[in-house]
Amino acid sequence: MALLNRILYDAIYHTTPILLCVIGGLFAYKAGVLNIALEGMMLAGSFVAVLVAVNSQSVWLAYLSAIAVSLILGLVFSYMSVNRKGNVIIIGLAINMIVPAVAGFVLQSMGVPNLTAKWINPVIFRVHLPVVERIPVLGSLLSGHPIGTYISFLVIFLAYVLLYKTKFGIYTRVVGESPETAKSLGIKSNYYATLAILIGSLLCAVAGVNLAYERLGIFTNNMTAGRGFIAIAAIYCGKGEPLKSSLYAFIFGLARALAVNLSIYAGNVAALFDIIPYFVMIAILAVNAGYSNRNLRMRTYW
Amino acid sequence: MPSGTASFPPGVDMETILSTKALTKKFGGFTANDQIFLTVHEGQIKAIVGENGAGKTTLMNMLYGELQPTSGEIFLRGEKVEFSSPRDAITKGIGMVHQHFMLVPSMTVYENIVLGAEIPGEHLKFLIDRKEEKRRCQSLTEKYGYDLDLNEKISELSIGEQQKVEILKMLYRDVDILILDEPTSVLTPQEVDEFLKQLVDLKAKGKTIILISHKLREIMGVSDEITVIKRGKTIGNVKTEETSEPALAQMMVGRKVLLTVQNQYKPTDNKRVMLQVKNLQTNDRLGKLAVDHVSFTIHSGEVFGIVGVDGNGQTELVKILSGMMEATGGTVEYNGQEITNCLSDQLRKSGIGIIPEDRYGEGLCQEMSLCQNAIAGAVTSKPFSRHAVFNRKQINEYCQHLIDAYQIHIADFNGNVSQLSGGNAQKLIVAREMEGEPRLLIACQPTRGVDIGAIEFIHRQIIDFRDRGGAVLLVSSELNEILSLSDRIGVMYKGKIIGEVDPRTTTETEIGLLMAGMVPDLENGIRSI
Amino acid sequence: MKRIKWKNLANSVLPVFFALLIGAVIMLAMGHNPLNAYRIMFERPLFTLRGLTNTLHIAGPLLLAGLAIAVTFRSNLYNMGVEGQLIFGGFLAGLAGAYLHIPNPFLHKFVCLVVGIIAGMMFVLIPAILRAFLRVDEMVVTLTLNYVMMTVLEYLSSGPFRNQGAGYVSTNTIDKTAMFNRIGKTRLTPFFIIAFLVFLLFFFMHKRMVFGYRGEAVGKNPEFAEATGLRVRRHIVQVMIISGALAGLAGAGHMMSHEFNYTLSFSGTPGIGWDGMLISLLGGHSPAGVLIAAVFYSALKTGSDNINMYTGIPKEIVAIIQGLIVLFLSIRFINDRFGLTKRWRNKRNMKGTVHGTFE
Repeated sequence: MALLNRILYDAIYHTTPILLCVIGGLFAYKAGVLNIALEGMMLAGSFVAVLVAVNSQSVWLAYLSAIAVSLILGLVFSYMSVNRKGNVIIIGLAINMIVPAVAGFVLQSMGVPNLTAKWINPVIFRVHLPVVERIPVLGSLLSGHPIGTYISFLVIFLAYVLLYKTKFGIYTRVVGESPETAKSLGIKSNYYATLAILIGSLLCAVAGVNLAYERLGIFTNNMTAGRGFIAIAAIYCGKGEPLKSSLYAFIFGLARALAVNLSIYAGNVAALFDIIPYFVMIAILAVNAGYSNRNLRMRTYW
Repeated sequence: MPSGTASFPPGVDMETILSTKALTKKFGGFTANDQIFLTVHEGQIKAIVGENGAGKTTLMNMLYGELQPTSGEIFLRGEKVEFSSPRDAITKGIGMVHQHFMLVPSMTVYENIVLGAEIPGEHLKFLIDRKEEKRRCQSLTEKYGYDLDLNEKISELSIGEQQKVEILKMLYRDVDILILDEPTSVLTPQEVDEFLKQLVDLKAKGKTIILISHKLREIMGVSDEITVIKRGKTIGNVKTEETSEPALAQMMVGRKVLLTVQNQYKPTDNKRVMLQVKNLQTNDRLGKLAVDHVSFTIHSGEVFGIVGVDGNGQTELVKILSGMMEATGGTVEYNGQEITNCLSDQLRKSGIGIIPEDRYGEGLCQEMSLCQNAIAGAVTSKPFSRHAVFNRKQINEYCQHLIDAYQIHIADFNGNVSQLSGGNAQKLIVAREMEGEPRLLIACQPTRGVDIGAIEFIHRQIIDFRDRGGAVLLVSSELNEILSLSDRIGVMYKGKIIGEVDPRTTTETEIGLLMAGMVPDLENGIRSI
Repeated sequence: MKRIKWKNLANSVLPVFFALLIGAVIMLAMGHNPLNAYRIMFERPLFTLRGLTNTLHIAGPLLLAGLAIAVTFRSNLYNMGVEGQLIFGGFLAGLAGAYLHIPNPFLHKFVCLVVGIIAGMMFVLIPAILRAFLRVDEMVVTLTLNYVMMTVLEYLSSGPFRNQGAGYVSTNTIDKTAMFNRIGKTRLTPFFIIAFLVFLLFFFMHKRMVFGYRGEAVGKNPEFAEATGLRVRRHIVQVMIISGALAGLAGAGHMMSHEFNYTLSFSGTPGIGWDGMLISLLGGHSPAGVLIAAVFYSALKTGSDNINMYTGIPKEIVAIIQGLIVLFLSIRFINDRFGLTKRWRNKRNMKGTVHGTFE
């Protein structure tokens, strides 16, 4: 029971950064832009947050600078893709290459292998929900998570409202689904696509900060470990709908939690559990594609 | 903006609502519109006619702010206007319904109607007020007598219903001038009648309508004034009551037009069955039957025509027969040999030539050279290649031969296919498929969007091919084309061939009824399917 | 035709120029002399015999990795898993080199190369089949499988196949019979010649054979390709497998001519597979372009060691420059139809034109 509880707690914990990326990325997805730079933006968020924290001792300054840097990356991405019509995949990969390079460059200039903001005590970010905490099983499951976790679940709801109940959301979807319609009605496609990308940057930065602060306040150069790509897969699987995509994000989080918790019993092979989420993702992609194309009789492949 | 309240500067015709002066649009070196002078009177239906590629749509896109003129001026109620986007045009009271609908398939009818003009909520301004939106749409549909379910998604509507949504979208914005680009090309003859009635209704309610079409009969029936455009120039402006169909056709083309090809049907006794299709079926993406138990036979020396309103399964049928789609049931036999679900290369090897519907999709690759396109479908065969290594000299000679023999007008032999006009691109396909010496030719919409010269040429090719003993499956939504070329005609409706008629004895009314799904019944008159 | 080629060249040279420029700005900001740094970076690898042969030696696997990506890019497929296929090929070739004791040096090398090729092919089979039969986005799958392969190989090399005698994680060193030896006093090995021969084969296939035509047709208009009988589905699988084979060969060659055992930094950072992507982009996905780009890139790579050694600048500056090159390569500086300045002048007039609206 304790193990199950821990797995579920961990599942929520591992879901958080993916979830933030998913919600951030799905706006761009709905606007017709595939943003694979989520990974790089998240890493930038982590890096800047820790770097600033080490040098300034201010959490708020760290948070704000992480968001600012991520937004700058978002602007670069949107300028290159939306305004200059560049290949989004290549731009995304470039950002994913540049961020760790810059981080490595800075780390090496400072002569350290990684950065630790020792004064950050992850416990202070934990939120203990007053009433919920007392409920026997659920309490330990739902309470005591870092604040980012609660934000991320709140963001699902916000994203839903934004996407389906506001002008911004409707126009963003029109821009992605039917650009000619947007044009014919004078909806500014570039404007909405750019905003959608920037929302992604913002939430990726939050995800990155969360990742860096939640346990240790530490930055290592590959700490995002493909979460951005998992987020993209979740968006793909959920077709960019906030609730569905979030559900997939949780499935991935759960797989990861299983991998981590079962490793205690598995010994040396433990490392291999880490690949489970990736296979889950590929399986979901395959099943999803097979299902949505089940009636497709055309011999077209793109 | 109610009509008649605006005051006009002196000297301007009180009735003129919209006019252009020397309006010109150039795309690179190509002049799409050359000094267009157009006058539209308030409360009238103005028709703009011209051949495909004459520049009608370009002109309308400038009036709607989607394109900006290279030079020239537009006047609205006597005032000079400049539109930098469709939004400007809409605020000034000009709306347009495009040939390809500008609707968002995953959204509902009312969402599409109000799109771009959403109503903010009373209390929370950033949220939209769906109730109010629906209420306004409801009163709009009632006012104009449109029968639509506002909560249905666009993807579930028929083409005719989608068109109504498009028109409502403009009426919602309270436009005075409505531009309609080839509105009837996607409708059944019966839907066309209803649509034309609606147009007259709109006129009665005070709207000015600009109708773009190349279907002269419809225009003669409904319009008040007609402007003819040819190669980007206005070449005539007439009152509808003072002209006639043949006169218009002659203006459009610039010479006398034979609306039908000389087609003498030569019945022969020892005909072979070249293509036998039995109970063929397949489904669309949603799992619905798109081709529904279709059976027919084509003999050598015969043109079998299939006609129907677009979207009734003809496209899918041709895709199955040309190897681009899988059938879920039924069989196809070619020359006594089963070829069901064979791939395109197998079909081509066995002697089938294909002129596909989508010229720049399946037919040609615009970004590849003329030579590369000329050998498409035969790249692995001699003399073009040996052991998968190309023989460039042979390929160049062959390509030159096609260009000469089929009078394809090119600018640069080494250039890409994108340099060719629609008609010449289609000729290249016809040339390539004919040179493969097929015994069965599948031609789908072979003359769509090409100039009249090329139409005549392609029709001639098809008839000559038949006279040499070839079998032809001709699929078209142009009734004229089907009637003048076919030896037998099948009519498709909702995936089925619901009737076969003889072109020498049938009437357009009979085919029109079949196209709309009505089968003539000897006892009860007409029966709807 | 000549004009277009010139533009392609400019579209490859300008991104490099801008990336080097930004790199220079960073170095200036840090108080270093960028000109001196670039001189140190490029002088030895390109303008000394020893440096040049070393550059070519390093370029071998890069050339193959570049071709592996170019062959898919041309067909509008994105095999982003070249890195994973490459390290798998290298790892298995390394095992074959260390555990199969074949006395005949030719045979042993041959077996190792074949093992590497097959490894690459097998690993690309998953995304290839998913792509061709279920239309699953191959880019997402291949990207993901890189992580899987890295994790698996980390486990294998630190667990079952670990060289217990080594102080760090590594596999056993391959036998002498499986190593490509240096030619004369240069750093070059016969593997470079193999890589070059593969390049020549590819060059010919692209320019003169049906294979090149098919790739071009599928890449530019897959419907057209299918309709004219080119069997797109088979082509997708075929191209992906060829790409995997090239990646596997690159990995095997890197193992047998340079690394000799598998360590966690076998492919370096960002990894030869990622380098291959940059090389393919830089070379405009044409075989000849890939060759030139591979040599240039190899010089950049070997030069980065010099920069670290002779100046105080961290070698990551090169990684930044690489990323910037990729970023700038994503857009075309010079349009096919207009020149750079002309395009900007025309921008106002072109504004508002929408494709396909004129009849």
